[in-house]
Amino acid sequence: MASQANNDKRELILEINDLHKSFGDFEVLKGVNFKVYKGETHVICGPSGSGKSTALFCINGLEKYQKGEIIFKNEVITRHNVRKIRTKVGIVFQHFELFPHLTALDNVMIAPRKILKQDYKVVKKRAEELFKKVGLADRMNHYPYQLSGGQKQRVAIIRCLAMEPDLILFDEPTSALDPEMIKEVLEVMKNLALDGMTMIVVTHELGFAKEVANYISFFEGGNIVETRPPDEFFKGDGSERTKLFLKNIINV
Amino acid sequence: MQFNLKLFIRFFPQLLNGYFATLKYAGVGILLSLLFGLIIGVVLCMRIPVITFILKWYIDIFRETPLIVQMYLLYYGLPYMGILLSAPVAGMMAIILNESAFVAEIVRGGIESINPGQERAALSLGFGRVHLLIRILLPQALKSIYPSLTGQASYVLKDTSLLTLVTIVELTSVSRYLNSKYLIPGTAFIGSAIFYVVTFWVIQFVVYLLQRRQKWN
Amino acid sequence: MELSKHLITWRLLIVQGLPQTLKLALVSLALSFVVGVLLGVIRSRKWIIINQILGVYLGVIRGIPFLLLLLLIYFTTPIRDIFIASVVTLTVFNSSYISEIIAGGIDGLSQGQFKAGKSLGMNGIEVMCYVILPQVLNLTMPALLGQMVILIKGTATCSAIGYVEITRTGTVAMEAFGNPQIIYIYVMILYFVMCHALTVIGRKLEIKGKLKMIGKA
Repeated sequence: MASQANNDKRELILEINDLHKSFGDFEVLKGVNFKVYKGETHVICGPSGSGKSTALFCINGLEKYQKGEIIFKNEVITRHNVRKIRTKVGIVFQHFELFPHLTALDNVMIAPRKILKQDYKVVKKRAEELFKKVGLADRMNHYPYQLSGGQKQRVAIIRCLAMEPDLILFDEPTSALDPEMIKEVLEVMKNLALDGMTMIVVTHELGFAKEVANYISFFEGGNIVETRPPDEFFKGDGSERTKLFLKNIINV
Repeated sequence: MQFNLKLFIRFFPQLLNGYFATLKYAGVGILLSLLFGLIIGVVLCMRIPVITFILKWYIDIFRETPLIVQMYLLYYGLPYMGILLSAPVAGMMAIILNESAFVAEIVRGGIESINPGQERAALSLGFGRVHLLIRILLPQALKSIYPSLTGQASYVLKDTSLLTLVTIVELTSVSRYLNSKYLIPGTAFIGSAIFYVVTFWVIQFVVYLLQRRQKWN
Repeated sequence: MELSKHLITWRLLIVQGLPQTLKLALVSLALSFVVGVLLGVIRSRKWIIINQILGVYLGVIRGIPFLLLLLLIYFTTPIRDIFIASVVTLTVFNSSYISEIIAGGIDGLSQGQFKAGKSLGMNGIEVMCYVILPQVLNLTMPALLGQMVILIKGTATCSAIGYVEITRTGTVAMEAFGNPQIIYIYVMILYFVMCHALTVIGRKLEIKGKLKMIGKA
């Protein structure tokens, strides 16, 4: 695409080629093609059940796929290297999935310490700075059940950041939050994008997309219908299906 | 034929000794069956093909055949294979093998009932399956299953009474002895029943306290 | 041991032992069921004094080891027949657990069911028989099947007071044929076949029950 001509100088972080996935007889991903370059924030939106989350989970191997390949930083992802790649690709879940038996601090520290085997002091310092950055320095020693939804999701985000990943995937990060808390999480995500993190965000929050995204992809019926920069996307001079989707959203 | 308090007091020391023996066997049985059951349950959740198959069969066989037959097999049957076990060892082995199977099922159930999102989160951070089982799933599972696990204590306690059938001296065998020697079934059996029931109530109470504390959290 | 002895053993176990086990199990099961459901319904009514008394009774029955209960009933009551003593013990023992299962099932059913039945003009007993119990029995079937397994395992212990069933037949065969331990393995296989069948049915019912709950069956 013309708008991506300049990107060939930048680093290609993730490439998905012809991804097909079926649940039994039902094909949910029908040949998805996708590219994300370093520093980009790429939002994926579309109707529920279109396969967006499934595609996301295929990237880090949580879902298996029948056909296609996923390439992370020029390395094809196979079952042999997927564990290594998971330490470089973070994922933020809709329902936070913090570990309830660990404090917030321990939640953030456990993976760098136990998986990457990094030094305790180094990890602790990094974790404390991350907590400060998202405004939760006073909550480090709290347990997940003592935190609000927005706080939990912010901890979930820095749990990913503590691993110093090259890419973070977001699966509808604000869908399970009460409206008052959505803003605080989107703020964190916005700052993350401005700091240069490469992000793929599946979301319905089109306001966020408009403000922060480099590209928005409309996902429907198991494939990407079109991908455009935000201003073009919202102008609605793209495909018919996108127009229909936008019309329904704007009316709400 | 019925309970005679004077006789009960007279034979109380013997019954007490039997009770201590029972406690001894029960203690060992509870500890070891919890330990083995925990290990087996966790290994079962690792989903290693051959081992899972063997363990599942072990669990089914020991949960679905009578403990008394398992004891007879180990005590009367093994000598034929050249393995001569002393009565306490054979009897306890049967109890431990039996109850470990139950504990393993409880542990497995607890682990598998944890919301799968936890597993996904841990896998996404790069945890391997074994690591995630032990550090993430097991602590959470233990929190929900420990009332059942402590309830196991009363089952092991009752199992020990079968040891009398393989010539081990404990509370039930003392009462049988008293009955056959002095023909005082009421005193002997009701007397030993008192020991068992009181112990059972103490265990129940502890389980109740633990369950209440769990609900609190 | 030559082949003929193996065959004789199996013939003994199946022709002599198995019918006795089944006779004991089925009679006890029927009685336990009737008594258990009755007690369960009574407990669900939550009449204070009766519940207190029942609570103590159940607490005692569950606290005594099965073997001790058997000895108690056989030696201290006027019952002299081994079969009847075994049936009574199995009934007393298992009905207490069944009553708990049923009471739990009734409590779990929503109040709306009672109201619906009453508003159709049924009295309390009719509601219980036509509306509540059918649902409860369906719901608790897996747990009831589990209790059946426990009951069958209990019949083996009745061999201790001399009732001739599979286990006792096996012991006799062992002594006759010079103690080969393979015989107890045959005994275990027999029990396993019976109990495992029940367990498998129970598991299938549990899965079907879960599917029903999320609207898929």
